[in-house]
Amino acid sequence: MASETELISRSQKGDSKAFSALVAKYEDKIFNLAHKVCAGLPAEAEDVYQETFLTAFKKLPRFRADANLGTWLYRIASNLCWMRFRKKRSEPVVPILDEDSDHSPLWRDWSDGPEELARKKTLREAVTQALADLPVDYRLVVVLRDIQGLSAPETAQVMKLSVAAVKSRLHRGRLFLRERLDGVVKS
Amino acid sequence: MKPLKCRQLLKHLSSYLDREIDPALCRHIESHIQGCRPCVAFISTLKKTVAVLKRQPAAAPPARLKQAWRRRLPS
Repeated sequence: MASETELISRSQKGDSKAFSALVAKYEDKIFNLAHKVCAGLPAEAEDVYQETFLTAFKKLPRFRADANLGTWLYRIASNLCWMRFRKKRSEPVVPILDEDSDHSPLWRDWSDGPEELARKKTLREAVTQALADLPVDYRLVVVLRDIQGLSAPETAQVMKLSVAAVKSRLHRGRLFLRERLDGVVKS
Repeated sequence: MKPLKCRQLLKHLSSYLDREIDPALCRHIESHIQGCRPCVAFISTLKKTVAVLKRQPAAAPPARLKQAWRRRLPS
């Protein structure tokens, strides 16, 4: 079996079969990223998924040998998502951060365990809707970190942000989602 | 470091849950939450939010889509 380096070299010369083999192991991850960021818009997710690989094939001659292919593909996909949703760029409104009170009524407990919560269809739908409502700059960070499982430095590399900025966006995004899910969990 | 108030603690909670926090600050947070039930409840719900996200079922591309972009590559 050809190594990734060989496949990159052949793909850079326009070998589409080599490229197909090269990116095969990243396909599910890229599709899942697109699916979660294009929350509730499956046609958009399918476009992002396909355009990621078509763009990557076109740009591959400029891919640096010392770069990480997975990170590079995530970056292309994230950019494509960002382009689609960039109009809604305002900061997410998070009452707990944006109001002065210390112990607001938001400081409530949720009785169900996370696995039980995740199984609830209504909750899954609420997660999709909450992600859709989260501005894309924050949504990308939340999806890369909490759903795709990238580390803060990896996410920073994909998003071309500092690690501190990644942590800040992640926290704000999580608080927004927590607030949006609160009503569903309590009902 | 002076004892933390709830609002001062709030901005550090994601890093605290991710264990990406300075050990001294971590000790301050743990000391604070020992005597603060609202903060304990808040951390619990934030933790569950993250857990729910992590447990979202992964979506996989259908075979027709895997073939579709390959057909569009220049041969």
